[in-house]
Amino acid sequence: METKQEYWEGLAAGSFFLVATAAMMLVTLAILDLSGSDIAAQLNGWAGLAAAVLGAIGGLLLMVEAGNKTKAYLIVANPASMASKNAIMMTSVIALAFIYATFFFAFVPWAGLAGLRMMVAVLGIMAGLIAVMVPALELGEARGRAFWNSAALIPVFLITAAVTGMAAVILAAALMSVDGNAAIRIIDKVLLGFIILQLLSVWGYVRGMENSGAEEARRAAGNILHGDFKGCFWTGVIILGTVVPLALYLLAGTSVILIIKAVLLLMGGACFRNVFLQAAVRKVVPGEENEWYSREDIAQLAAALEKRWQEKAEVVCNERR
Amino acid sequence: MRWGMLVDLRKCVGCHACTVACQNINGLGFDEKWTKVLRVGPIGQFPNLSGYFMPVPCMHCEDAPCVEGCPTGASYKREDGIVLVDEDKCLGCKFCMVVCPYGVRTFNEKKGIVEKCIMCYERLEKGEPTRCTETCQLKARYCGDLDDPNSEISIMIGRYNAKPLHAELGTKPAVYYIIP
Repeated sequence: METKQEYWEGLAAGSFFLVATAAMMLVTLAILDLSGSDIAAQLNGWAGLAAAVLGAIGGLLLMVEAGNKTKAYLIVANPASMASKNAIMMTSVIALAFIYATFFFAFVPWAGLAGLRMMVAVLGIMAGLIAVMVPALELGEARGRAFWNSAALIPVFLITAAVTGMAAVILAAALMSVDGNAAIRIIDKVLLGFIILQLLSVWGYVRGMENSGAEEARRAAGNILHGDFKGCFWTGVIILGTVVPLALYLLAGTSVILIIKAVLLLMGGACFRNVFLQAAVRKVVPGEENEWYSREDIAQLAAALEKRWQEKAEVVCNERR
Repeated sequence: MRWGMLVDLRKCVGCHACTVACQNINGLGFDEKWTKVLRVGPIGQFPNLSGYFMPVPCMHCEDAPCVEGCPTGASYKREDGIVLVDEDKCLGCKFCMVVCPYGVRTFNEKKGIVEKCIMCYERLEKGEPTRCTETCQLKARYCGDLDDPNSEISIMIGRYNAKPLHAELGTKPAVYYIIP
């Protein structure tokens, strides 16, 4: 039986993480702009471009994961499927983040069109929120993987993406030396609430699955809490990705502290995606508990068998000579 | 018309002939098994032990998660219920492997696409049984029309109260098992 979900691994987890972060960066920047904050003019151009680049890297990771990369364009060919919807939303976020960012560069002809920019910002908020939720629905299509089959996965994905998105905006502001702005300080306070929510929702989700009626969900939760993924979960998601950033709120909010906090939150977000994607094992088919070979096991067996055949063939050839 | 399969687990001795015959006819590698045979048990306590073997091909589900989930439409269901993968459309994203509750799809590294049991549809169209059914020396496998109440497979399913695998998932598999 499966000890982990082994078809989508690190690349897919990285893609989900980067796209979710990019989407919520766009949402945060758009809200800053719509609220009339003066920092938008300084921050939103480059941070918007960064969101587009992050999203594009996320898309590329998914393309690398595919076996037949030349046909990657076909991924939007079946809009009825959640995977296609996810790809469409991913593309929309990347395009909107890029278009939105261009409004902040004076050399662009439409830079002064504030009304149009606001419209793009509203579209960006909508696309960003949907893009963050669709992966939860996509994973929920796996009926044999009960760990993903809860509706609670949507808010969990939303909250963790909000944390990484806001952390990325704060990181961008700190790197551009505009983190002293009142709006960034407000985002930092809102982020505190979301980190607490993240701790409660992620912990609550895993604990809920540990007590689930589905055996495979309990096995997945067990893998996370005290199995193969315990290091990534406890150290990456809980301690470094949530508790330490929370503790940093006790210190003065200097730029260095903000940067450390943001980096830790981003790292925690990446660990969360990795753990939640790979821990969701499949329902056991009778007998799999006795005869389960991972892809690596099968490849090793095949290589050993091939080697043995080659050795035998060589012996036979030598004898004939 | 809906093609289906019935496996009598009381007869299967786990010889893997179906797996090998399938690999031969479809030109599969050693690590590609479109129908695998699993060993269930031993169940119980010594000396009262029992066990059986469980051949697991693609279930050709009526409500197939792989067909619903495929982003390119490469996985599709024919009118006769057989689920196939269109090689020209498959981009090898492996999402169908993630959503399949039975773990019966394999990834062909050379072609970069996902492959699976095709229920020997070309043989069925010619009136021949699937290769695994034909090769089974103990006649543990049956294939036929599930929609025809008078077909051998439908009668056997009714007579022996055969059940599909993980029916609770609502995928409505076309492969039934007579459980020992």
